[in-house]
Amino acid sequence: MFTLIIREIEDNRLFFIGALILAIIFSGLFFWMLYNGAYDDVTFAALPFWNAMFGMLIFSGMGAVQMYLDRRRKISALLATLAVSRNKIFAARVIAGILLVFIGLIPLLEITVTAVLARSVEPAHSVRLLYPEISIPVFLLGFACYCIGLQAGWTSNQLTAALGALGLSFILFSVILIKVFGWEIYAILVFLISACLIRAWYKFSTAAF
Amino acid sequence: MSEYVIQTENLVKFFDGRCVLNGIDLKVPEGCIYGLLGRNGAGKTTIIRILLGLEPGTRGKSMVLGVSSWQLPVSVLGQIGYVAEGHNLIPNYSVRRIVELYKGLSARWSEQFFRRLIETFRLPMERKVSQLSRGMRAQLNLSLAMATEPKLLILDDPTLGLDTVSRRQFLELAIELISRNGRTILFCSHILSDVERIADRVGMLRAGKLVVDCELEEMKRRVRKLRVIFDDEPPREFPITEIIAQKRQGREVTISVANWNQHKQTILNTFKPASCTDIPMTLEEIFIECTASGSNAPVDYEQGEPICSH
Repeated sequence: MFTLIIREIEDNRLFFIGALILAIIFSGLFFWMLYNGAYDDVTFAALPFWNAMFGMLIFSGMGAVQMYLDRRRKISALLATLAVSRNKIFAARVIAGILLVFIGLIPLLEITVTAVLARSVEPAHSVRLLYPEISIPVFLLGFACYCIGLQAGWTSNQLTAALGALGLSFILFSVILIKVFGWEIYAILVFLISACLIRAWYKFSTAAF
Repeated sequence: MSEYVIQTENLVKFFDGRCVLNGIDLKVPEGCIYGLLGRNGAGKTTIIRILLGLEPGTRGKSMVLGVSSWQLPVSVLGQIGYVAEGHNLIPNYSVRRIVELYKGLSARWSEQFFRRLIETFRLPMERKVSQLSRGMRAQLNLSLAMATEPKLLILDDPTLGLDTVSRRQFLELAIELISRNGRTILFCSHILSDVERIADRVGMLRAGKLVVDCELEEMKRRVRKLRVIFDDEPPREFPITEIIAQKRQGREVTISVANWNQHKQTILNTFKPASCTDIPMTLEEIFIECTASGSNAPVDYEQGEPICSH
């Protein structure tokens, strides 16, 4: 399993580097604002949120590329002839995706730790509440984008994979902009993630390689 | 089931409404080198893909090492080595990375055997797979498959693209592998001299049907080509079953017959031929007779019975 996860990360290292660069940019922005005294509660919510929005392209892109290149380069056709089950190949792929989304949460982690250390926020905004309020929706949004990419990428058409992943991600983005995070959005995201994952897994596990 | 490493029963496969495999009953005993032959599109690769679980069959059973091939557990997959037609290794990986991947994902790995193969083939470890020649890719694929020390080795046209020396090296390695206890090889190839050299049992596919399934020597003995010359006009047809091909030229008739026996000889003698000469056939000639589009399928073929069987 570890070999498979490492393989996924190495194959998609450009996405990991992209997510890391994005995290560094947003972290830099946060510390710059902190230094200039320009941060407040809105910054807490806005920075990681926008980080995830930009990350959306990276997350959905990686999902689509993982599945699209798998078909094109017949990667799973090779792996499935070794002592590996299809479920493991798919699980390793998703774990790599989760790791990518976690990288997108780095700025959020920094903001929270800094806030706690500096004791510059009210207890209501302490780490206890920051995580459920910000990190869960940000993680769900990022992971949903990744799953959309995963689902859209299992096609032999490059254009369908790219447009499908981007199109669905933008629809999701628009829904969140209109509705703002709330329990309804959480439910939609969880439903979307489950549906995309189950569909992608079903297609992958029953496909002729 | 357990006496056969590979067993299919009435295996049928349709692609887009087209029947590619039509009731295949294939049995490969343990320790056997089985040569699966057939023209392009006859269904060889489809059978292999079904056996490896890469493709489901439409109907029928397919078992590998006693397990249904569509749900091969990891423990069984770890006992199978596979060399794919076209050597589909991941093109953007370096040789070293592919080797590491195989090492990490194989149930067994013989580093010593692999090193020997790599040195024999002189494979560059740092070069990308896409930069290797077709022959080098074949050698790499073969080395990887053999280093996993499989109980069953499935080779889909493995010598395609190899030069004469490499082909000879490959065949010697295959023989070495089989000499290790209990190894079984399923071997598809268009190079019939290779099959003739190493296979001890052959199967021939024609239009999705297994028309021959028997030991190589047995097949050579039972498929006969006869030149029959008559004093007068030869009879319009012979009441002999399993005539594979027939050619007439004046008073001379050349017939190829499957499952030749004394009974068929007696029937032929009733026509009182002036002479009847046995023409020796190589595997290639038998293959052409059995699979050529113009050959007459004997009655038994239509009933789905191969020329010879277990």
